[in-house]
Formats: sequence, structure tokens, C-alpha cells
Amino acid sequence: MRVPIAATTTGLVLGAGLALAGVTLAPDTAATIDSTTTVAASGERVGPTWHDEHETVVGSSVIVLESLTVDDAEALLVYEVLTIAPRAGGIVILDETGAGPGVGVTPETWVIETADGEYEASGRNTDVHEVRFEVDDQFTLSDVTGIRLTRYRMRMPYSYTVEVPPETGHVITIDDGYTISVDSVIPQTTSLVLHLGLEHPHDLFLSSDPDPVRVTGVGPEWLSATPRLPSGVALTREGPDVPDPLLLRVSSTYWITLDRPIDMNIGGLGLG
Amino acid sequence: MADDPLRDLLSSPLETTPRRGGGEQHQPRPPRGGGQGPWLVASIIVGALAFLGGYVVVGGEEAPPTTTAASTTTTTTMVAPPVGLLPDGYTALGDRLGVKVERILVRTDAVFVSLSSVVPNTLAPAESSGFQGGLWTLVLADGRQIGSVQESSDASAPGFFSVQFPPDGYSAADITGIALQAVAQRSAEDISAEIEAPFTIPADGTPITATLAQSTFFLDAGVNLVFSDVTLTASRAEMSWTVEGPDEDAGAIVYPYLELEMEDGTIEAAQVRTDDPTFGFFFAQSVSTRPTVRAGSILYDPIDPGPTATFPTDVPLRARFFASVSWAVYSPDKVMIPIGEDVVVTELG
Repeated sequence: MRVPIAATTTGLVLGAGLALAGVTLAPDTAATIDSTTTVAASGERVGPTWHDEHETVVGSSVIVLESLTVDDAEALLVYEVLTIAPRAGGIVILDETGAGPGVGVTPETWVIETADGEYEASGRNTDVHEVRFEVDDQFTLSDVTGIRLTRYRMRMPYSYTVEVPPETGHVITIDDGYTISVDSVIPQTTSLVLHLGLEHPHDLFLSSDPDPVRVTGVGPEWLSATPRLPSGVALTREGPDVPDPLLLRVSSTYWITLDRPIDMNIGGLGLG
Repeated sequence: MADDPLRDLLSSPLETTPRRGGGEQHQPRPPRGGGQGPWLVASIIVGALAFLGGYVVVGGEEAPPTTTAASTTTTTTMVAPPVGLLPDGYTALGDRLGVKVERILVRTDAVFVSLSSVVPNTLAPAESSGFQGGLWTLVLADGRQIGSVQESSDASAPGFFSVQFPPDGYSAADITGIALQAVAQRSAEDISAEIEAPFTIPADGTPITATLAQSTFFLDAGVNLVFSDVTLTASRAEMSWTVEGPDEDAGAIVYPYLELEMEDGTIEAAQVRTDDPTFGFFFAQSVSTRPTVRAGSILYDPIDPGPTATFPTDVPLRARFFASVSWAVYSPDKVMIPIGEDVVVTELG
């Protein structure tokens, strides 16, 4: 092996020089670590803000208390629910007014806190963003020390396949209060008709919502799905064969009830 | 794919897992020529090491203690996502998405973990959080990790999504967290192919087979979409597709279309039926997102109304196949999302 002396000598000198330069110019390591911080020097907030002052985060939404007024032993709380969710994927069906399904959070029951006690009230339904409290004659806004949300609903999406035996009367429970029942299995000459019952809780607070569960067959042999009254679906499948089990796809976005108290930000109400 | 924002959002400076397509930069470059270059480089390294060794032995240990200006020196540089500014209970996925477990539903046939997600209010409406789903594991107290089956989302539940896991004898109390293992990168493309040669469909119902001039389509690294031949009878056409390649997590959704053309140029379109019918569309507020899958089957019916409709028979036909294809591939990542004390639990059965 031949070693090129000129190149090697030059390299050794250059390497030593670079190392010297590095030792001389390098900043102090400990000082660098200590001085690196995630807090701004001025103490101001840095980075993106996730919600504004006076907004209270509930799920993928914020609730903003807009006003609290008192009139004739009744306190009226008006609020707004705004989404802070990322852009939704999928397809939304707009109603005749051009409105979509709205945000996925809705408050239901509230408490006004005062030094002397609490007042409870419930909203009417998912579309009304105000709640009325019966209060004492002596109640004034300056008595209010806090407002608490005690029950609210969230829409949660579920989409999955289920295997159902083709037995009339068979019932599967898909969630608390939600069932799918096989009401009838009708093999015809060239097709199979399947009647399914879809039971869900009857809840006045959610009465403005349409049928919250959809069921279709899995496979290109399934030809159609037709709603059945009062709550159900008729599925038609090509051919007289009755698969066992039936493979069905269930999709839903019904409201889930959450009984967990959340203290609201009341700073924007301007209470005395 | 390279400009997918989530790849950057969810990357960690400490992460050592090579990302898709990023491994080559760590490969040694091939030697170029002979000459003295290697000797020069080696000697520079030796010289530097010799100097530094001497520096440490002679002076390094006796250097005065390092004094810092830590108490007076601050910087406005952010070195981490602004996790502290997230709403309470939320875990950051990058710097523009926070997620929180809201509910656990345990059934005998499946377990679902539902999460809410939020974005900073500085995010313009036209911007996306970049999150396109992922692969998850359920982390149990005994150390087991259960891989996810699929995710659910729906435009009528904005910000919420549910992750499905298989049941395996555990209860909600056993679940300590849900871990994002990989983030999805979704893409879409329209493809088309001619049937190789003209064909004739017999009127007597005898099936014939037609072959696509191109049956394999490259979607992504390690992901090919392969279509079968088309089997045609007077009243039906059938075909299937599979996702093939070494990337076993990848999946696709195929929206197909078949067009038959007679010699005089008349077009005979076909009605399509697939594995995941969307006829629930007509009585719902929205259509749920569809999970990507590894395989699917397709049926085509003559589009003319009536029970006896047929494709043109005993005449020469040409055919064109079209499909809108969307697919997902996954990049490794790792974010642990804890189960908070306020999570709602429902256990059935």
C-alpha cells in the first residue's frame, strides 16, 4: 500500500486547524441548553391559539355564552355552539334551506351557581340555543358565581359490518338502547327480501333528528334499501339464496349522552 | 405524496424510523474515482482527532466551570409544538390537530374508541388539519396491544371519529390508551383501459371473457391495483380487483364504470354495483366515509330499464373500463393518547 505523503501531511494540518477552530468558535453547550425554552421572553403567548377567551371547549366545539338576562323570576341564558373541528370529509346532504347537519355537540342541562344555591334547567332540543331557569324573585345577575353544563350530547360516527343470522326474531344490540331485529326473511323466486327493525331510544330532546341508523347489505348482490315505518329498512338481494350469516354494514351518527360537568367561561357575560 | 403536510406535522426530531421514500439519503455514496481524496479525508479526520485528544488531556479538564446566562437569556424560538396551549385533555398530533378520547363502547363483537378533534382557531377555513386517518393500537394494562380494524367518520359528526378494535377478552377498565402507529396518506386518480380486442356476447347466455389491455396500475410504492378479466353474459358483466404488493397496510376504494360501444358508435352504458352500496344515501343526512380494502368485486347490469334488459348480443363490441380510485398508504409514527378519567364507557353483553 502506498501512502501519498503530501496529501496526508496536508490533511493532518487541515484537520488540526479545523478542530482548533471548532473549539474556539463553538458556543458553550450548557448555556445553549439552558437558554432554549418554549416560553417567549416577554411572556406573551406564542404559537397558535386553539380557542378564544370566553369560549369553553366541549368536544370538537366551543360554547360561547352570549347573554344572561333576568325577567319576572326567569333567567334566560343564550349561547352559541361553534365548531372548532377540522374540515369534515365525506358527503353531507343539505336540507331545503341549504343547512347541513350542524356541529356535533349540543348542550342539554345547565346549572347557574350563586352563593345561596343553584338553579337547574334543561334546553328544549338540539336546535334551540337558549335555556330558561326559574329563579327566586330576589335573584340578580350579580348573584351569579358560575354556570355549569351538566349534560350534553355528542354525535359520534360508527360504521362497521355485522354478521346476522337469517332468523326471524333475532335481535342484536349495537349500542345502549339501539337494536337491529330481523323482522322477516322472504326468499322469492329471483330475490331475497329482508325486513329489519331499527329500535332507538325515544327522546324528546332529539326528536328533530331523523332516523339515526342506516343499514345496507355488503356485496354487489344487494339491490336496494327502502325505509320502513315506523322504524326499519327493507333490503332486497339478488337471487333466492339466503346467506348465513347475513353480512350487513351499519352506519350511524346518533347522539351520545355525556353526564359530566363542565364549568363554563362566564367572563364574556359582563355580570355585575 | 412528498408534499403531504401530515408527514412533517407528525414527525419528531427524535424519531429514527425511516419514512417512506426517505431511506436512500442515508445510503453511502458510491466511490468516485481513485486518486488521493480518501487519504486527504482520512488524514483530516486523524488530524482533528489528534488535536481534540490533546485538548482534552491537557486543557479540557482544567477549563473553568461553565457559567451560563440561563437566568437572563431567553429565546422566543419554539422547540416543540405548542402543546401547552391545547384545550385541557387534548393530545397534539402535530401543531394543528388535538385529539381526545371521549367514549369507549365495548360490545361482544367489537370495541370502539371514539375521539374528538380540534384545530387552532387561527387555521383558515380552507386549510386542512392534514390528518387523514391512521392505524391504531389499543394499549392494555397487561402490555398487550390490539391492532385497529378500521376508522369511522361522517360529515354529520364533524371532528369526531371512532376506531374499531377486535374484542379479545378485555374490558374498558383494561384499556390504558390508544396509540397512533401510522398516519394515512390518501391519494386519488382516474384510470382507464380498453378491452384488448373486439368481442361478441352470445345471445344464448354463454359467458365470454374479455381482457383489459392494461390490468395492473401502479398506485404507490409497494402498492399495485390489479383487475381481473371481465366476464360477460347477455345480462351481466363481472370483474374483481385486488391490491397487491409488499405494503400490506395499503388499501383502496374503486368506483368503476364500463362502457360498451357498438360498431356504429352507439354507446351502451352499464349500471354498476359494488361491495359497499351507497343506497343508504337517500335517507340520511350524510354518507359515511368508506374504509379502504384490499379487494372488491364489481357487477354491471344493462342500464336499460326492465327485467329482460340485455347487453347488445351477437354484434361486435368494443369496451372501455374507467375507474376513480382512491387509496391510502401509511407512514410510521407514534403518538400515545391517554384515556382520561372523564371518558364515557358503555359495555354491552
